[in-house]
Amino acid sequence: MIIEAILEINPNAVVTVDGNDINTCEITWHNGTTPISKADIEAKIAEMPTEEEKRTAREEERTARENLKASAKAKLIAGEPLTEEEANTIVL
Amino acid sequence: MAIIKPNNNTLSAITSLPAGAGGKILQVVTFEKSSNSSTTNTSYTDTGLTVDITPSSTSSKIFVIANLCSARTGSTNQQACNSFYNLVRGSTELTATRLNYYDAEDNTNREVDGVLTLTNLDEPNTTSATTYKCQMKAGGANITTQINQTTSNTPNSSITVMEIAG
Repeated sequence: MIIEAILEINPNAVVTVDGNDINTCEITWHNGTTPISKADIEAKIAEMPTEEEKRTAREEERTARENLKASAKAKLIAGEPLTEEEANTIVL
Repeated sequence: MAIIKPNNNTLSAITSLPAGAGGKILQVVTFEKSSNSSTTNTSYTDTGLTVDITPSSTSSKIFVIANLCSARTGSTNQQACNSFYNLVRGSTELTATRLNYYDAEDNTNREVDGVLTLTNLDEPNTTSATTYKCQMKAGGANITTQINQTTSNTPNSSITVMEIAG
């Protein structure tokens, strides 16, 4: 969670984090990455979804994609026009 | 008084075990880590799994087993993620492996977890204190590499070294 928060603040950060607790973990910044304060990281963690919330979001994303594919297939069989979103699911 | 002379040698003349007598485990050292380690560095970085052993003989072999729980490679913007994990003695790489994930779909968060085991039968040829450790690195930019990723269960990665009589 700590490294995810760091990447939310700086997606290009090259960093190593050792530990689960923001107050006690060791953070090493590599390749000239500008350090981010622990207070800023902690604030970002508070804004971010939990692992469970991320898992749920991924499941919903997967279900929505499968529904779109199913809808695209049904429309193709019926000879009906597809929406762009539906077409995107079958175009390689 | 009877004097026993193995293979007709004096005790001081015996400098090694007879054939077939090796293979016994002389000592075992282990280290466990349950906290998360993560990096985006594309150069090898320590995972925190480190163990020291001092072999009792230069002929000893060291069997190393590293078990990496909840190893994860992931990215929010790379379709192919891979992370590398290795086992080193000092700075000498003994073995390495890769955790790889390719996402053919257009997901926004891509990640895969796994349990990785690295083993090696090393011959350090020393009686000095020797350090074995596991390292990890990202396979490219914007890839996060981790061990002990999950916080919902208690992961427990470990490294164990066994000195085996030569």
